[in-house]
Amino acid sequence: MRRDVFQAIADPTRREIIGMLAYQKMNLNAVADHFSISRPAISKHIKMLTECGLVVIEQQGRERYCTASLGQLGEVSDWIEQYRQFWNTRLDNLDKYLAKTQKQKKHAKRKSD
Amino acid sequence: MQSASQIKESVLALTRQYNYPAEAVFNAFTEADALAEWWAPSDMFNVSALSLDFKPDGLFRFRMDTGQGSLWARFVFGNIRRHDLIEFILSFTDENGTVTRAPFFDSWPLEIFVRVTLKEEKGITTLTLESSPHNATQQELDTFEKNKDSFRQGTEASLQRLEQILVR
Repeated sequence: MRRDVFQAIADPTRREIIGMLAYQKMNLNAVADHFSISRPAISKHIKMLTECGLVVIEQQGRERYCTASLGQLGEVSDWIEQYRQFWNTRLDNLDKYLAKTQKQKKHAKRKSD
Repeated sequence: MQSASQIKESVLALTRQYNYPAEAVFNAFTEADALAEWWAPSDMFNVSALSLDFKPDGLFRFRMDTGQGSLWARFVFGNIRRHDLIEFILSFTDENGTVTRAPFFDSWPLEIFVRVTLKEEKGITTLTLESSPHNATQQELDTFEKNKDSFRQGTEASLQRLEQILVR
């Protein structure tokens, strides 16, 4: 089945891999060397990233190189921007809500004193 | 539930300060009426709490109404520590509470993990929000794929109109 980009970024190791590949093309071994977890575990993460379309693997001679797919990364960063707005709006509202209710509470307390 | 140690760096991290005690901020996440009030992004939106069971694995279900139609969503609470920690997984749902893709955005994760931590100092509470898409299991995703088409057909038209409102 087709995976989506959000599955790709749900895991911190995969986020780190994407972060590395966003700047440079790396061969599979170099990616794996960067992490303390097992090589098969890294391969699994990379496989998932390729299935999500965020990473492309190309064979160059005997080496397999991983590159980040920028179009798909754009989809991720678009969402993060929307999502940041989503929470900013709500956290502002929370402040307004607290201002209103805490004032009412103070008022009620003063009355009962 | 994703444990604390699993999030190294979140996709989104926001920090806010509120001039109120941590207890007041915490309670705004734990009371249905409070949540319904501040969750609404604008006056064009009305949020109604349907149910709230504030405990680990408990649900908060709510409906968002606009002039153009309704949307449903839920929190599934995770770790909770009174007055300083609230975790939940946020999803859009259908009317029956089944997780669905966010109808009004082209691209939005099925499930989003959110952690809110509060720290009070001298009456000022610092809220930190960390959030990342949640790693939905294959089974959840398969179920979603199966239901997606029927859900889409029924709601597409009204939701396109809603989208126009939301992007304003």
